[in-house]
Amino acid sequence: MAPILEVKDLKKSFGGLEVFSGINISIEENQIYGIIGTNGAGKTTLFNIICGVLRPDCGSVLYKGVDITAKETHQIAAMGIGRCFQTVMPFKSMTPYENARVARAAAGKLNQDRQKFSLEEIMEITNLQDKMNIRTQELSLPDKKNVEIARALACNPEVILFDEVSCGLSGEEIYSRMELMRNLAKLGITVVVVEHIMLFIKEICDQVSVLHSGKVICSGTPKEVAEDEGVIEAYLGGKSNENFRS
Amino acid sequence: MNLKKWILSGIFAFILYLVFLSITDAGFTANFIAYICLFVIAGQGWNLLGGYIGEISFGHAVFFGIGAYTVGLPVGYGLDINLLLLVFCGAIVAGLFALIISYPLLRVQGFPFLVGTYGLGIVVKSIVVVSPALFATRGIFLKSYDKEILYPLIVAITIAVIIFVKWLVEQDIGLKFKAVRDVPVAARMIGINIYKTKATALVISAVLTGLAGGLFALYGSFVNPSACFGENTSIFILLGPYIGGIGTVLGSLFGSTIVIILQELARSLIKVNGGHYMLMGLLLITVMMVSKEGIYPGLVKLMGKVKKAGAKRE
Amino acid sequence: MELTGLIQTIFGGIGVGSIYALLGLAFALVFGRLKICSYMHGDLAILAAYMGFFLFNTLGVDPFLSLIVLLPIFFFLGYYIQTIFMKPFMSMEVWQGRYQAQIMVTWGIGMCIMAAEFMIWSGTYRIISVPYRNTTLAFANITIPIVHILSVASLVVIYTVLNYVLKKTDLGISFRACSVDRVTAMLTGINYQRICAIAFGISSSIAVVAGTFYALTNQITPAIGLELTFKGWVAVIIGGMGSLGGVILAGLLVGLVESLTSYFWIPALKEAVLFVGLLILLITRPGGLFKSR
Ligand SMILES: Nc1ncnc2c1ncn2[C@@H]1O[C@H](COP(=O)(O)OP(=O)(O)O)[C@@H](O)[C@H]1O
Ligand SMILES: [Mg+2]
Repeated sequence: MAPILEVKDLKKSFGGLEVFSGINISIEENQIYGIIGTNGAGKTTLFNIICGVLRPDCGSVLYKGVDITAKETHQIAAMGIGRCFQTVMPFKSMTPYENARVARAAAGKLNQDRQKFSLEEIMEITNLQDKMNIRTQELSLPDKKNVEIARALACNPEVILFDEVSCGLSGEEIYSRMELMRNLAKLGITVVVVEHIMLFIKEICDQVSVLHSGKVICSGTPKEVAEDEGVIEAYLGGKSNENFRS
Repeated sequence: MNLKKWILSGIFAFILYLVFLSITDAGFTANFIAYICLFVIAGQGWNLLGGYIGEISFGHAVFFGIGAYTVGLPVGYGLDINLLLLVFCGAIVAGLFALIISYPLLRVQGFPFLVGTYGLGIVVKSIVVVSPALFATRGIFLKSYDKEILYPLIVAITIAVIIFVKWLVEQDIGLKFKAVRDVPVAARMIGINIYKTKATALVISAVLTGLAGGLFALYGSFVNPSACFGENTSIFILLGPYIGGIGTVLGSLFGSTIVIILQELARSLIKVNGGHYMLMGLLLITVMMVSKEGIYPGLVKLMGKVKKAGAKRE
Repeated sequence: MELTGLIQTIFGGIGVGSIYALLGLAFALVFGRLKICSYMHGDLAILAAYMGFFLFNTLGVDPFLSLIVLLPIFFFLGYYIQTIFMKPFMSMEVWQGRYQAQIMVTWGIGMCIMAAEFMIWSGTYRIISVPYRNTTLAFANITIPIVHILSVASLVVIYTVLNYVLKKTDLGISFRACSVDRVTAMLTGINYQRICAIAFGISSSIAVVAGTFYALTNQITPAIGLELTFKGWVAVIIGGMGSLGGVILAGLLVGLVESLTSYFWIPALKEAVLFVGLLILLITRPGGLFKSR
């Protein structure tokens, strides 16, 4: 089967800093795909390039076999790629429901044939039904993250990108996010997660890629990756560590 | 549901106005109310762009003037066309002009946009001033329109515009405006074409302002460059929403009303040169220092606090 | 003959442009680095011009001599305007409407200044008739007003001094630290508000210089203030939003465009041509003509 999202020979540098020196990632449909890497490895940058917020210096991004590298962000969103930002950016002057509604009215309308949830259902699965009519500005951080997820889901995406959703959340809250991702995958949405926490990745991902110093140093199942010499080297400076493996 | 309330209040306000008019007939107060209404319409138009999209325009007099001149020019050339029809044509012409000018203007945001719109105002005004074909120095006199019809019409249109704007900002497109204002990157990420959305807002904004301009031509029975295209017109249009509460329909309504009333009061009471500028300046500073968001949101916040305090005491 | 006229016009344009460049410099100093958006420097300039006019008419003080008094006065005026009126908006982010709020407050202050000028000096055009107002230096067939030469010279001096202060002094280093990041600068122990106030004071003093030169080459009336503000901002935009060198070139360009339009076409259209140029520039190079950092 052809991959749904494919990154080919991607190169990107900011000024003198080379973030990617030619990376290849291919993501199959219906997978939960994990991308890990240390801080500054370029995970967010990768998402930005996929979404058309940044342009790569070289290389291409293919979505369902179509080259989307030169497309505008809003066109890419309309093709079915949804995204949650690492630093939360909900529309603060609107309520959570309106956040979802505007997404449904924009990209969601174009992807209507893929619609899996109504707006009310989205509010429910993101645990926002009680806070539907409060201004997002006044919500807590976990709720703001939920609003972002709701907004991304309202776009009726086929692929959804999560950028460190677990960051700043408690254990319980993380588990509910994991549950949500599994459900999304079951419904036929491809999930791409960027995470710090190995445990998270190990729990839910089908495939993992490790970004390190501008390259994908390893990809495979979580188990393979955790045992890869190069990864251990990169992360822990050679020493094998129990925490990391468990 | 909420909209129903607005429509009912609108109808109620209009009936009140008619009663008022039948008691006093079209005298000074009615005249003044009509004048306020013109700036309320234009202010609502401005607010769509300045408040909901967040792009401050210093050049809305351009659209105002285009509306007025679309009414005035045919009259100047001796054509006999229904004036009300011309008013609506003026609104459309202003909208078309906005569509064309959006192409260069909307390439920049924020501050350059502001300076660009101001520049646009200057360009258009100076072209009108030097063009004999546009009756540059003389201006154009229109035959005066029946006030018994015109004043209620202006009030009715104002109410309709307010309800329309309220309706619009609660539609999907209104939410898109706010999305673009709040977080442009995230707005793009949910499939919103920022340029198109802004252009839509600009065009609707221009149509409303052009409408106000057309009515202004009927109201004053006279158009000339400085009254229609002058910088002061731009400033009055934008001061209203700013002082009242940018990005709120009611706030912008209050603001425009307050600004025009104060302006006239200052003009008739303060005999000192430049007194009304001083008043406007002080008002602007005070409003910004006391409540960054304007009078209306400030009041709403205050009411909330008072309510909370009251609840606590009980 | 033709050529002489053209060259003459170009020199005139540079002379006028140096005033816009000075104002642009005042804006760029606080906008480009500290993200403070002022909308009243044009009015400050005209206020200074009126004060110079007053001192000259009543006491016979030469405008350049009165600068000795006016510069510190306006420095403190700017300093306190920043500390009193602008402080509440300094912690706002751009997307929260920081610029809009700053524009409105400064515009309000500018309006009050303009109103005060109207009250004191009325709207009549005033002129500072110093003896050297029409003195020119002649090179071959070309005559250059001495005031223009002085204003270009002061532009160069101010730019050099500013650059030196920014690069070499402690004040400049703290200033640059503040421009990189407010919080980090504060964490390093820099008094952010004070630096902003000083910068605002300096930029107000630069406006004084611009205003004085404006009064020496033009007639002044209170309403000119807002116009000057815009010209200064056009220079900032063309110059790439805040680079000091770019602003100076752009300011000179603005002056050139104006005088060339007056020379070849109708003087009343000089502003129209300028802004049409600006619109074309926005289409082709939204980042400004001399974008560099
Ligand atoms: N817009 C940008 N300009 C310059 N450098 C950037 C930009 N965005 C990211 N970087 C740099 O690229 C590197 C990768 O950043 P990022 O993708 O945010 O890492 P991650 O998300 O993996 O922590 C970092 O060193 C960061 O400083
Ligand atoms: Mg990141």
